[in-house]
Amino acid sequence: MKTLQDRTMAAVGILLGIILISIVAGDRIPLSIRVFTFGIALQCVFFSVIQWSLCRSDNSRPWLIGWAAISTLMTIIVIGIIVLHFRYDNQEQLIAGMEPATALLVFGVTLTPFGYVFLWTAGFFRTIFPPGSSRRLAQLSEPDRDKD
Amino acid sequence: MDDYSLILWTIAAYLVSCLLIGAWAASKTKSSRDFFIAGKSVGPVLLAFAAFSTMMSGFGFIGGPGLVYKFGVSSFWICCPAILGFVVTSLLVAKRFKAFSDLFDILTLPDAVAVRYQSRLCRFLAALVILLGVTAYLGTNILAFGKVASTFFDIDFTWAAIGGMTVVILYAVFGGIIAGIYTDFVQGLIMAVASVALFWIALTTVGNDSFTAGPENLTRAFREHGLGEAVGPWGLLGPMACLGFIFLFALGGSGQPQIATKYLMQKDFRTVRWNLLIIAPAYTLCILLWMSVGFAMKYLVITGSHEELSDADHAAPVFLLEYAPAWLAGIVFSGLFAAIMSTADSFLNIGAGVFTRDFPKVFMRRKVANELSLARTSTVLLAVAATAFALWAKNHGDLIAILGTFGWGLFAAAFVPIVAIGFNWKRATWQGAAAAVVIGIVTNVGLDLLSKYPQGEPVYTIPGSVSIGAVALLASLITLIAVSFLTGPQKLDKRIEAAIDA
Repeated sequence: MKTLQDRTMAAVGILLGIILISIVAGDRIPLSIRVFTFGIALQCVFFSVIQWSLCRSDNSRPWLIGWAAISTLMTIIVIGIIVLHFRYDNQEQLIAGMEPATALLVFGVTLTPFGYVFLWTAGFFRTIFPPGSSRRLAQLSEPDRDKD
Repeated sequence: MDDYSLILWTIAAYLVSCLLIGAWAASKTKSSRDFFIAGKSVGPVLLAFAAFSTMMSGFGFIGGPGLVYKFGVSSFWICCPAILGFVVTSLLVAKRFKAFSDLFDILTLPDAVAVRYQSRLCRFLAALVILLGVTAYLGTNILAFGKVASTFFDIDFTWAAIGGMTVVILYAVFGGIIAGIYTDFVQGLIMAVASVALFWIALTTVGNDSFTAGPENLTRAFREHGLGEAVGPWGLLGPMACLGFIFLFALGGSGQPQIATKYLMQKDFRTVRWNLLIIAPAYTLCILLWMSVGFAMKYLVITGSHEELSDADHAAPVFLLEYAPAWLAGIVFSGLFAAIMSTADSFLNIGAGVFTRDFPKVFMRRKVANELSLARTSTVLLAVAATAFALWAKNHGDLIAILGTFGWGLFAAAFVPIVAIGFNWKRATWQGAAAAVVIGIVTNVGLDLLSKYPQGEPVYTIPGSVSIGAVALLASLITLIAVSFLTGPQKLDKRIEAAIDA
């Protein structure tokens, strides 16, 4: 495990193992603990994978901070749904005709991923496909192309 | 003209336009490169619509509302993470596939896998998974087409399925993936526009002609009839199942060959920048149809306005025929047939690649001389074999249903580790990739059989209604990471390293 990528992947493997245990353990672990564990580990897996896929230059830092901010917002929304649902089950108050937790799901979980879309579009040439990347590929692409 | 005739003519006009697209695409298809990856000439708008339509497919019209009818809000956790899934796929797969296809002769997903891992075993396993998955998807699509067409046109099921596949063969054989992409584009437009109209109609139906009263009427009716959980944030399946859906559908999209291979077709990666701005809003509009029609139909049933449906998958067709204007029903049914047919076309194309590119390279260690002819012949044979198999399996237990349920999960468990992870992580080895694919297949098939048999008293069911695909994906990812660390690092060609670093 010499590289940052390797260490990140080892961490992802451990997180995936935790998720698997939280699933197969079933009722041996209280539901609320399993849901929190699954939810948090899931966000960490996504962030680690994305971070490790892009964390190759200093240019990607603002992008990763943006991704982390949106992911944190998403985590807060999911935790909000869990709290609202478990604490105020079947309440009378409705928001836009829905239970508060369902309304948070419909508006929060649907719209938040647009933040990632914005990041992708806005940071495309700075982080996803910087000019150096396209030049390197162009240099390598023509000679002995059909050798595989 | 009565309503039925209007719907019929709309569908007929649409099918004819599909055949015309096929004929036009045939004139553009001159090589296997055109046949499989559209000559790497697909621009951002077409690519975005093709990826989105392939993802939504007939499932968005029929299966989605059916799941809402059956499980309530739980279904929301399937369609909602898909937007995140497109972002993840774009990040992990789009750029790598562009880089690999620029550097190597790659037309199929197993081509890419063979290049990345320098392994014929990995190519063989990838091809095997594709054949299994393609059989599953083609089988379910043929049966879906037969089901809808035989009911709608009042003809024999077998003839309906054969008729549908004949149209598919005609435009898939001659037009290749180019025909599929343009049909996907039209289908995507129809779905996005029709979804808004149907959303409006569904909520005004539930709200007694008031759009804004719709959600409240729905929530209160569900609670009054003891179905409050269905309109809660987790629906009837519970939180663990919903989190499993996020994992499977946000990460699993990057392992679907019908989506991943679309990124081999890009003309210029720089234009992919705009893809997500098209995909995300279009997909969000389709979520409106998915959720509102399923809920509206359930509302009508529980309030006694409509009799109980014999099958949850009838929710959308029944709503369209009985509650939507005929012109809209005609357009949506056309979109439905187009979705099924373009999906079948995509899978036939991917399956033909196995016989044209992958098996010859695995077993004969060389390319065949005339790939385009073999691709067209393979498409016909695969379509005929899949139709025969689907019709046979329909009368022999629930084989197609078993295959159909793990189609997405099988592709996710097999390909997310070796494609989405392995194309970004240099330390991933061919042994890890091969082990991950095998574990993906075994876990999917094994858990599916254990959870179904013996009937009534299955050996094992996953706690919390978590989907089999999610558990299989977890198992295969862990396998890739563990086996790759346990085996020695693989020496990579400098161009492979460059493609991974790009």
